[in-house]
Parts: sequence; structure tokens; C-alpha cells
Amino acid sequence: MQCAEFREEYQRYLDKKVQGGPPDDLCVHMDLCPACTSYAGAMHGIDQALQAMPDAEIPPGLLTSLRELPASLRETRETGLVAYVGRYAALILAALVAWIVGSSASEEVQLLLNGLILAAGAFAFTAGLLKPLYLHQVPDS
Amino acid sequence: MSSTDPRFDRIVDAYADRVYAHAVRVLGDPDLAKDATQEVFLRILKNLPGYRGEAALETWIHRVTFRVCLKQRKRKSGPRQITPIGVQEIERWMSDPNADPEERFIRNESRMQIAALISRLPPVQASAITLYYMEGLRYSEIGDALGIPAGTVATAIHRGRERLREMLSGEVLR
Repeated sequence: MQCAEFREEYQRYLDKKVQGGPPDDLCVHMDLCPACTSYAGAMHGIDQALQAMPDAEIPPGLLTSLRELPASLRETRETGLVAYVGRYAALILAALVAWIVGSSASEEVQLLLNGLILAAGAFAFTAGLLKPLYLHQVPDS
Repeated sequence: MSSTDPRFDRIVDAYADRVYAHAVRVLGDPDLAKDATQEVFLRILKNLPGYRGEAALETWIHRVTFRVCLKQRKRKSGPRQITPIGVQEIERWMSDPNADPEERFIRNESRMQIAALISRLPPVQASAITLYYMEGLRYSEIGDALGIPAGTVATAIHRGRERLREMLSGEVLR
């Protein structure tokens, strides 16, 4: 048995978790090869250490924050909805103010304000069409 | 507060510690692992309504965890300095189950160091070793979770152990 083959076989032996030591052919090679004996000892130690690995304890508070995820996700969506409605309301209010101010201004100013109101309306309409898609996005935190 | 889907609370209770343990082994950083765990459960929460049970719940959760950890690993900064323990010492610590308290302390330290070294393995090897040793999953189950054949899982575990040995003996210290 060559050393490379021994190392491969020894890994397979570790996977099988056989009680009572390695099979004879591996033992024969180990009797003849100190390097592979050392290799086997190290791999056995690593295997034992991995099997006895202490569990990673979940940090305090993480479990609670995970349980609250649905609520915070809902809140994120609701906050988004409030901001969305708020932006619409601000646009309508701005349009109203512009219309009241513009009604007593010159014809050129009225034309300009009407143009601005139309542009704002078009923007709001487009944003309104796209918003339902946006609101269903989950934040990638 | 309760969630809209009652399954979510049950999943958190059953899997939170396992997802965190998987993440902390692969990422090697408790803070990153915490962030990753939150992202995993956010993804679960988002996709739970569409989950029809095609894959086993456990496999699905480990798959999501693996993907999130992969993403986190790409963001992670460079490797940390690790002092070699020495293969002979590892052999000695593991061969004496009746060691005195000081010996046991050192042995425990070695386990901690091996735990830290897992995060320096390539992600597939780190996850395969974590799921094999800590979760006790079979090769086929690990393969389903990582999206690789069972034979590749065996190779990943073998290479991972081999690399741990090299790192412990100082052969691969970057």
C-alpha cells in the first residue's frame, strides 16, 4: 500500500466510525511508515475534536429578535405605506397651493404652474403604479 | 409578538440555535453569524407561504443558511492570524481521556481553535464538516442542502480534515 492510498483509506475509515481501531491493511502500513502513523494520529485527533466540538451558544436576545421578525417586517411595510400616502398628500397640497396662487397671477405664470402640476401628477401616477411592486420587497438586511 | 404564519414561530424555536451554530462555524465570527441568522430567518419568513414541502424543512433551512453564509463570506475581510497548535499535541490531548483539569482546559482550547479554523476552510468544506459533525447529517442530506452530489460531500469532508491538519501543523498559515 502506498502512502497516498493509505491516507485515502484512513479518511474512509474515519467516516465509518468503526470501533476497535483501523483495519489490518492500514495497521500493516503504519507499522512500516512512521510518517503515516503520525498522519493517522493527527487525523484521529482532529476527528475526535470535531466530534466533541462544543455547541455554539446562541447569543442572548437573538431568539427574541427572530421571533419579532414578522412584526418588524410588517412595520417596515406599514411605514413604507405611510410614507407613500404622505408623499401623495404633499403633492396634492402643493398642487392646490400652486393653483390658488396661480389663479391671481399673470397668464404666463399660470401656464408654468399648470405645467408643473401636470408633471407632478404624471410622476405621482407612475409612482403609484410601481409602488405595489415595491411594497412587497423584503428588506435585505 | 406572534407571526402571521404559526409555522414560523415553531421553526424559530426548533432551528434558531442550529442555524446560528452552522453560521458561526462557517463564518467564524459571532457578529457575522448573528446577522446571517437574521437574514436566514427573514428569507424563511418571506418564502414560507410558498413552501410546499418539496424539500425536507431541515434541508431547506440548511440550504438557505449555506447560501447566506456564502454571501457573507464574500463580504468578509482578510484571514486572521492563527498560531499553530502542533499535530503531536493534538494527538496527545485526544489520546488521554483521563487528563487532569489543566490538560482538559488545554484540550478544550484546542477544540475552540479547531472550531475557529473551520471558518478558514472553503465554504463547502466548512459547511460539510459542520453539518456532518455537529448536525450528524448523512452525506446525501448534506448534498441536498449544499446542492452537490454525496460523493462530493465525502471529498469535501476529507479535504477539509486534511486542510485542518495542515493548518494545525503550521503547513498552511497565511
